[in-house]
Amino acid sequence: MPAKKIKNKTSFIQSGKLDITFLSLVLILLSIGLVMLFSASYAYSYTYYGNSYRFISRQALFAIIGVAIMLGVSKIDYGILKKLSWVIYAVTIAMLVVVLIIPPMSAELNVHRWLYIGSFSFQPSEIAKFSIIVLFSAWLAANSEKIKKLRYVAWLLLLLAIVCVLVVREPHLSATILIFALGIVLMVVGGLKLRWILIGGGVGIGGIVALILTGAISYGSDRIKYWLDPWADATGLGYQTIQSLLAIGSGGVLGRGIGQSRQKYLWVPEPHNDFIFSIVCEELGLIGAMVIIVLFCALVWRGFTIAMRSKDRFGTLLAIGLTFQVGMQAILNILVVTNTIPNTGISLPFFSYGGTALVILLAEMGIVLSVSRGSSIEKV
Amino acid sequence: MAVKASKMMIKRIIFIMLAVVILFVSVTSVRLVQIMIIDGEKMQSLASEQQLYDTLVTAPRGNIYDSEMNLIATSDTAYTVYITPNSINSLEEKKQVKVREAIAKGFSEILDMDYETAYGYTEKKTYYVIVKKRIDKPTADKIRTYLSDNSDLKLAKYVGIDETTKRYYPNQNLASVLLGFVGDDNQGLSGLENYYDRTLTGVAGRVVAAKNALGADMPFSYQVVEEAKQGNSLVLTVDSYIQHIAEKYLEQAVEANKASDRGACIVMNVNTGAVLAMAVKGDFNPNEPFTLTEEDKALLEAEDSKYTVNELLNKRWRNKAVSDTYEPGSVFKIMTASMVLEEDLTSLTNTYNCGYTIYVAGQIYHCHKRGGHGLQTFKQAMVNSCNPTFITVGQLLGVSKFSKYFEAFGLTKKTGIDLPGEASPVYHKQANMGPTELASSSFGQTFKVSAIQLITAASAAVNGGYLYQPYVVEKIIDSDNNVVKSVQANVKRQVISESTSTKLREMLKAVVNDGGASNAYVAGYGVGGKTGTSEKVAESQASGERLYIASFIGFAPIDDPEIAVLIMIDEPHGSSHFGGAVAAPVGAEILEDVLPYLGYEPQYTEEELKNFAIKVPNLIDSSVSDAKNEISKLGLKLRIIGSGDTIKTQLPAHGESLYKDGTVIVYTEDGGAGESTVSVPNFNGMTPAEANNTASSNGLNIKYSGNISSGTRITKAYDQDIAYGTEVAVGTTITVYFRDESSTD
Repeated sequence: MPAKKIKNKTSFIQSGKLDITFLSLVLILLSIGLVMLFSASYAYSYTYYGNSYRFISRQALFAIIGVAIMLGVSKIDYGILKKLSWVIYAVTIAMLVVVLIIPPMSAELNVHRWLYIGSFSFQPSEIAKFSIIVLFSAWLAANSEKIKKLRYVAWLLLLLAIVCVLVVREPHLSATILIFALGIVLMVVGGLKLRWILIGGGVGIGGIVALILTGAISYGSDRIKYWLDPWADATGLGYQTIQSLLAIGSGGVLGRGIGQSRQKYLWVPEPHNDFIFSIVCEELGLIGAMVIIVLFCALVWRGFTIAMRSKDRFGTLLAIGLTFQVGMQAILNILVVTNTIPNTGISLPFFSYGGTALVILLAEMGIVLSVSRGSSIEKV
Repeated sequence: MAVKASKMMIKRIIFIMLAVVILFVSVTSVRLVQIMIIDGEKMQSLASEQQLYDTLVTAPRGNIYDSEMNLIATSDTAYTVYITPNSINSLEEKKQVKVREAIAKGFSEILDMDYETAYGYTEKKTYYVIVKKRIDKPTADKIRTYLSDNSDLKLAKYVGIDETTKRYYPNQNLASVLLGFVGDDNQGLSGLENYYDRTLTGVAGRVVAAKNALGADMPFSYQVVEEAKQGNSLVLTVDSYIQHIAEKYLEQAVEANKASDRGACIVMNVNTGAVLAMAVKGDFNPNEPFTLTEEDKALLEAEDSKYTVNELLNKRWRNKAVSDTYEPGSVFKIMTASMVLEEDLTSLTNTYNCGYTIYVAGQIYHCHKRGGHGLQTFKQAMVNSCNPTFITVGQLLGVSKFSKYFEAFGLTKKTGIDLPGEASPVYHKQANMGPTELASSSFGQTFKVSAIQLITAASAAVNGGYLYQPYVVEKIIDSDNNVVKSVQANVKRQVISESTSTKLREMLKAVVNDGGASNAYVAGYGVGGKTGTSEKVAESQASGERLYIASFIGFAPIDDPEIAVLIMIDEPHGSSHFGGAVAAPVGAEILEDVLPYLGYEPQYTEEELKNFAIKVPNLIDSSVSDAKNEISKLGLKLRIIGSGDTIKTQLPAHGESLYKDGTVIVYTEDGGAGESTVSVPNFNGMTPAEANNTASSNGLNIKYSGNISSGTRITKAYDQDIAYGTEVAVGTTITVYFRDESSTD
């Protein structure tokens, strides 16, 4: 990977115009997300912290920081990531190992998802997604010919597999699926032969079916049982799903109105986290929910458009990966909340509570904006 | 130079984008439509089911006041303790155990329940469990204190106290049978509480509120409140004082005469039908209607006990004056006399010869007086309660007229008094009535009516002939004391004429002054009345023992009656079983207290004044010698205690009445009164003169009550207001009750 930085000799500052549409979509989703988080967390926060504003005030603070970081990152030339891709990957692997070793701090036994630095906490799996996106984008942008060779495909799959195995050991199934999908999508865009795509698709589907049938993932298979019939244990493992469905179903076409959810009164467990979309449905109704889905689709469309217009393949792949990640996560989250797929524990971007995750997300959106700035210079 | 995306890449990007967007929109919209639209209603109702709860807000039950607006039944605040087990179940396991233990410990200490039961409540898989109902305020406060003492465990999140109401009868047993009582949910179960349950209950309100998963209320915006409407209150015709007097003397009589099947008493205004008192003994305490009395417990625990708890309780709850019927016996002669006088078949001066026996259709009837009464006027026949005479006039009247009047006196139907469980009378229908049925009916046997029917009918005989609707509730008022309904005296019909009624009053006055009801005599007041003694034939046969009901109906003042009083003592086992000896004195005792209370001044006859009522003068601060003069002039005696010159205190006080030769005790030193005491002698069985001597020799004063002059007959003391052997201050006035023990009917 020889250095190709010629234009900006010593500076990594981008000076092109950023994509206003993409920025607007991010800010709209973020704003709606904050309002809904406030509503969803209101009762929970009051009950457990004696203060209705605990969640929203923290999230809003992180949102402001995140937007500042996003705008800052958009000014930095994303090309710098190319050089750091292996470093990022190595650090990620280290964090994924550490998180498995240190004892978990949360009450849930045997779930190793969080790392704590001072009062901040974050999930290394979030970093892992980013790491795979950067590494694969960098490698595929530079090696569009090598990807056609099986041994390099195997090499990439190995790099991907190392991360996936570590994440699935946490266990964090949804992140694993997402990381795996990101790797595959980037390889497909990066030039993987069509034949292998089809073969790989077939093998993948077969493998999943085999895993389910043999019950290899016990933690998953239990979830599948209560996914198919949550009412079988309405007060236990099916509880969260049922409460989510009751919230969504209570929304009707127009919803109860902002702030009027009843299910958020502790019926939906932690309504500000993964299941926030059920409260969104109850308050905003089918119409509101569809507006949000359309906004996510628009974000995907705009991110992919930025990707296609990128001045270089690294920018293309980077924007694809980052945008795909957001879109995919939103899809999976909504499918979980509607009990369309088993509950895997996945948050809704821009909506779910989590300060560091939001900052990371906005920083990633900043990178997409950085890509958009690069392409605008090219055009001028 | 950077390489831009190839065409192949662009194609794949567009493909992936479309795939993502189409997958996203299609799958999610299908699912959302399915959940929100197709299953929406079901989901919504399931959600409502868990979120909403409906709380009944019980309306405060109306009060019951007596005629003077004294509160006799009201509602106190009571408390219900509940827990929300689900909110405990959702805690961490360690904390769960701590919270459960703390709650169980508190409940077992404060609520009188065992630890295991209390612990069991905390483990229920529900969000709301009532632990205990109707606890009082101190207990509720103890629970609250316990909760705040354990604030580290936040016990107040799991234990709650709701306010409810508990019926409270401040006068305990007073009028209990009349008032009735309420059940656990304040529903009226007997008496007025039952009859007027809907009036008293009011309209319960509802709060439909939303709750969170811990069972706590959601914010106010989710509440729908329907205000509770307080129940209306009753204002009775009953006067607590008269009720108290009636109960006091009835209870004494039931005890003294060892009545084994209770006693009843009604005091009624003869000119309105308003019930002034309705007493039944033995009764119960409506504050604890389900608690057995010691007496009943003993009955229940007796070896060959033939009672059950329910029988014993039911018997005490039963309103004997309304729900039981009995043969009125000679009391009914009031009605028979009314009929024949109204029909002009006889007059007070018509004479009849009683030859001890009389035959009717081959059936022989005896007079209660051996050898018969001989020749006597109709009025004397009433005074003598002569059965053959009444059989004779009854036959003159005939079945059809008898039946007509019997019905007109309201004896064939319930009176319709506003009380539950009124008994229907049992009587000979006209079609089934022959000469012998007519004969026995003429003196009040072989048919049964209730006490309330009888006093209503007898009142019509003396009040000018008007049969009134008896009633207990005078007014219904709302919570702001506005009158909702006011009950007016209601004449059903005129049964006999004014002139016949006047004759009846004359006869009944003679009965008290000269006859079987002489024990109903009240000095200073004209009382009329009639006694009755009837054998409980069926019960006697069943038990092998002769069982009687002794009864009396009296009216005062007899020249212009206002008050009727009925006494009925069921199965007396004392020295006498006759209405004259058992029931009539009770009537006198009641009237003697009630008439002055109602504002009637006693008007003594010359004869009464002779041995009666010398007003004690004020001797305080006068010198000993002056006092001596004054007292001896009045025909009283003076007893001086102390060596002072002026009188400091005196007994009896200024203005009280003493009989001739009564003793006034004066103290010439401070604080003397009460220092010198004397033991109250036993007056039982003494004649009035003997009692007076005994009293004055003991330094006590005597007040006569009841029958002290009964012509040639001898009356004897049967009771005294201060018990034998009690230490009292010298000069204290003891009321001694006299009756003619030989009185029959």
